Amino acid sequence: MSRKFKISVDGQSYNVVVDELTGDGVETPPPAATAHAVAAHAAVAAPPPVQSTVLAAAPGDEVAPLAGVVESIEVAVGTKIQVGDRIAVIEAMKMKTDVFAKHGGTVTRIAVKVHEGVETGQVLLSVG
Amino acid sequence: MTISATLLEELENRRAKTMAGGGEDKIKARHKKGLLSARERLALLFQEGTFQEIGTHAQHSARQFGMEKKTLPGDGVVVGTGYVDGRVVAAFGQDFTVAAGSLGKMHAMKIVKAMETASRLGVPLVAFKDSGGARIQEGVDALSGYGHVFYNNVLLSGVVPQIAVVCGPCAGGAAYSPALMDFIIMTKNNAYMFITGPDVIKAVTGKAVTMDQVGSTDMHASVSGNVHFIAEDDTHAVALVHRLLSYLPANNSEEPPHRLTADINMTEDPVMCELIPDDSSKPMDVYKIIERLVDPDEFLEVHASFAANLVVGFGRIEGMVVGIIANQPMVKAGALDLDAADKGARFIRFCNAFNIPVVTLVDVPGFLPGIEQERGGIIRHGAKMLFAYASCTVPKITVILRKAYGGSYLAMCSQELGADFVYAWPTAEIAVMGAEGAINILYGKELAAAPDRAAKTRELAAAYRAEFASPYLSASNGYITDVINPAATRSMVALALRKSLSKREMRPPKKHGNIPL
Repeated sequence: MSRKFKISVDGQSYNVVVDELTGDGVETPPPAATAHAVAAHAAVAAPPPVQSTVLAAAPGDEVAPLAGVVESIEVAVGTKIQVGDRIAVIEAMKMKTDVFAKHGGTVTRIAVKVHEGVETGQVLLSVG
Repeated sequence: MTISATLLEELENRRAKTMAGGGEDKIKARHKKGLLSARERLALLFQEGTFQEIGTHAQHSARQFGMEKKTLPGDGVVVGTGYVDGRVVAAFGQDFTVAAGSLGKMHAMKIVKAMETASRLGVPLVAFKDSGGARIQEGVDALSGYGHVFYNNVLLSGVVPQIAVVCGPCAGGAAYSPALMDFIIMTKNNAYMFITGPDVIKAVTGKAVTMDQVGSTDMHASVSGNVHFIAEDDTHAVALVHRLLSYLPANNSEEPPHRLTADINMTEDPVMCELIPDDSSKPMDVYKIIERLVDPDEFLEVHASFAANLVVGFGRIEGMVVGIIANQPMVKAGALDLDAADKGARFIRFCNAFNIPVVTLVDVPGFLPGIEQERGGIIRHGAKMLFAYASCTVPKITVILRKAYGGSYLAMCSQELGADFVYAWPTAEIAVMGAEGAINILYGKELAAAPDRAAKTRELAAAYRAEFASPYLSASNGYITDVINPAATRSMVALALRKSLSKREMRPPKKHGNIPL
């Protein structure tokens, strides 16, 4: 005969139907299988996605090509730059990596300080 | 006694109909758009007069949806063999002027015929992909046709080089055929490639995306990594095929087309020394090193726009064909990351399959740290580099230019992974980890007690670097072959390569290894 149970696993509740075996009862699916399936389902839940701490870049923003420490900023607000100009140096992986401008125009904002740690994609400065 | 004129006339008439493809108007319209027809592409590929067609008179057998009344010249694909630079090549070109180059049963059979021919003759296969996709009127016959094409792509893989030129639409399942081949050249305009396009993405996810975002040449060359070479147009694409073929053997039992010289030039190149920055934290442009290592104008970069922190490509050194794998410190400090590992491993495996010696230039600070790298599976991706190098039995020559740290050093064809010769410049830093990291672990207490921690760090790091990262330490322990003057790099590599051409390395037989994918 079947009986209904409500089971809670890790705070999530599941409605389970349990069959009681009578006689040799080989044709009834073993209840353990149901319980196992529930447990397996709970176990495969994915870890939470990582929240990015990097603000999305807007058009005209120059971003860090890799995570590291800002070694120097080669321009100031008001500097006119062209595509390919060296605008900053980031130290990471034992290397001082030059950052080159992807946009041309006038620097309107410097978003980071020297010796500050930056993440990949973090806005370094804006060009207007 | 002579053959009746009408029989020859019929032959000529039938031929002329096939040659015309979808007709003059459609071909003219293509020319206006700057596109070549399928036959023009093949004519450009092969030396004049060497093309022999297969299946000129092929016809479809579809009897539904009005297809029974249609004749499709050649069933929308031109197949045959010809000579490129005096070497035989098998090729096919899908004809967009005939039913949009759509793939039906006979069309697929002809493509398979091209592949079987390439396999039997032991010659490269070149495929011009320009097709609207499956011929829906033929239903499952068309689907089955794709299955046969994929299966044969896989049979050919590692047997003869396969080059796909995507010069038109290549959508849905059709995109898997080029993906199964060795190299994809894609034309800048007119071509696109995707599994699900903007319409399907919009219908299923509700998100509006553009063709540029999901299927353009630039996207595939720089982001997805599906495309190895960008071609300006059809003519440029064919020129790239010629250039690429000039480095490849016809099949896996042949040597690549070395142009062996009578002598190896042992002249030193002092400019090589001048290219090395005085400070090891200043990036060095590895392109400049490669340029001086190979013979003049003999470097063909593969995957130039993808994972630029690792440079790979074919070249010749004193006439010998090589595959070059080099860290590029100008990008991401030359660190290995997910895409760089995929790019490198695939290139190494191609070289190994086709008997092309590999030359590895090492300037690697490590694997790129980061949460997206770890979550993206840098363990299994980075392992591909180790797997590819260790399973590679062609001559392997490694030059350690500067940084060679930790697991990433091993992954750049160290002696432990089977390199035949490992040379290091005096500027090489070979160590288990960076000096700063190492001293934090080794001298934690001293650093904490030091009045000026920064100064003490610098002092200890310099001492560590001098003693434990020195190439002479590795050389004294037998982990590298020799320390060399950078000026002698080209001559030392060339001489070692020449000695390695007779290399044979036997391994226990197995069905295949299990590369982490």
